[in-house]
Amino acid sequence: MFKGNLFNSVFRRGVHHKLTPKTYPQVQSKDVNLEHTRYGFRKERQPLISQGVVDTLFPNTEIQQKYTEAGKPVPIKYRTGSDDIARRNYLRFQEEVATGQPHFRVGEKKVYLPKARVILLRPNAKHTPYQAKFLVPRNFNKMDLRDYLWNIYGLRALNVTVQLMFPRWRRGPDDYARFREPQYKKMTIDMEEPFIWPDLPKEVANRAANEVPEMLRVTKQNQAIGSNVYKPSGAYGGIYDKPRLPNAFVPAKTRASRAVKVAEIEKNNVKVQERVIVSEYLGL
Amino acid sequence: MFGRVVRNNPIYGIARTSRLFSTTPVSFNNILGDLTKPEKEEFDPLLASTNNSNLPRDQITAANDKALQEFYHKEALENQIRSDKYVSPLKRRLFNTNVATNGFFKNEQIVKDKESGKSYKLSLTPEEIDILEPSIYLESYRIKSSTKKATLVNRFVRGMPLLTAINQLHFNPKKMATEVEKLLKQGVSQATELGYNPEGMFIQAIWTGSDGNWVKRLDFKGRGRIGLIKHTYIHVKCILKTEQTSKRLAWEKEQRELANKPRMFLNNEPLNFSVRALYKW
Repeated sequence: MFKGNLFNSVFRRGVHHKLTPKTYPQVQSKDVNLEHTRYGFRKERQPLISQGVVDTLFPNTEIQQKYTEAGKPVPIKYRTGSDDIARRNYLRFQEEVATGQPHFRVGEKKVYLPKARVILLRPNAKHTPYQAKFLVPRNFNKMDLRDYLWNIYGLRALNVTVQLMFPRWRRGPDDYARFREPQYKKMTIDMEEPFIWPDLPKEVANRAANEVPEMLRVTKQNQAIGSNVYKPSGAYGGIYDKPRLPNAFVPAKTRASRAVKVAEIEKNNVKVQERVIVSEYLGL
Repeated sequence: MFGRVVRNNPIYGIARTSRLFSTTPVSFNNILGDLTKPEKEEFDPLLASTNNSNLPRDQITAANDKALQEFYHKEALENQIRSDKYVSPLKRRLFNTNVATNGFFKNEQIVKDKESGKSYKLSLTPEEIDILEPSIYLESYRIKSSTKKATLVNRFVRGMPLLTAINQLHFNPKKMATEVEKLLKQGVSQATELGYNPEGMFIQAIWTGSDGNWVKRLDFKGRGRIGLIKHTYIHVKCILKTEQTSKRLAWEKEQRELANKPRMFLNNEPLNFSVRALYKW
């Protein structure tokens, strides 16, 4: 138990950093519980009645019913008529889908030649087949995309979420300062029916995977310095790797001085042979 | 000036001059293009691979592309360092006859030329002998190490038989030992390619040198001082020689010893030697 003046022992520490023995907190070592429980000491509460209702379209009615059955007052937030509205909307939606009507209030702005670039993206791991992601212009809003998809493709976007990408800072190879990359806006919609992207042709996928590393290898080979000039790169199945034949050792200076002489000798030999042929032909 | 550019684009092959065909005529490829034909044939490996008619296009690889390999082989032959490029044919013939009769080259011997039937006293300079005797010149790629570290290993294997050196280096924990071992193994494969027996070969010389383009950066020290940190790159080069050389060297040594005057252990001067004023012991 804590004994003593609270100000002297605890709050004074904030004002006077250095404590005198007199002002030490009066604590007996036997009173100190070093191994106190750190969890499980809170009061275990019964789950709320409202928490028992899950996975239903219209929960309010069920929750109200449960509270009345338990003889407890229904919390105010469950006393609203939101379920009625939801049911009404739900039924209306069913009807609209059945009759092919739009399920939302269609925008009134007339766009005859839409120039917006809306690109269907491949899904990430987090997406379900019932979701589709689009790259949209940055001035697009959720309603724009919903209208766009409805008017052009007749696709119902049941829900639209926006992802405005962070414009990354980039630095050019010769730049002193950074600049911002374009800021992209993506939107993910929920759909009635699933859509799965077809697999890429094997050839295309392979090329996409291999092209960059192969090009890098070639670049490395072209920019090789020192003794790496002759190092084979293996790029494109070794098409640029020139084979080298084993060399004998002849010093560079010797090579420079001797090659000319030997070439001359061989040239003369050819001349002599030609002269022999000619003289034989002429019968000299 | 002539609208030429050097392209490093892999599609166009390794760096070569080519013209901007959109703006200039073909003849601008050569300074005297209007007057002469281009001296050197241009070769585009990618185009050549399409010329291989036997195989479907997707099955053509660099290895089975005949046209490409022929072209590369021709180029390799041009660049290869061989003795026949640097010694006259007659000398080569005589040298080979000499080696065929003796098993190795003996200098200052009389050799009969089979072609002309003439006899020659063949006296070759050491330089010519070096060129004519079979050798393999090995060059490493760029290595991240220092000359100091490499020299330690080089001195270890210098003069060793090739296979012994590889064996020794294999169990040496140094990084440079591995690099040199790789180099020597290349030597073994080249020797078999040339028809030399790797078992008789030895390391005649092995040395290291700076490979250039060392990256330098500042080493900030205390008291406002700086040093320079160098990231060193080196190469290792090596000459392998065959049994022919070792046999010749042994023979020459023997000849030298035979030619030496017999060693006299006693003073061979006349007895009436000059009288000196001082004792010499």
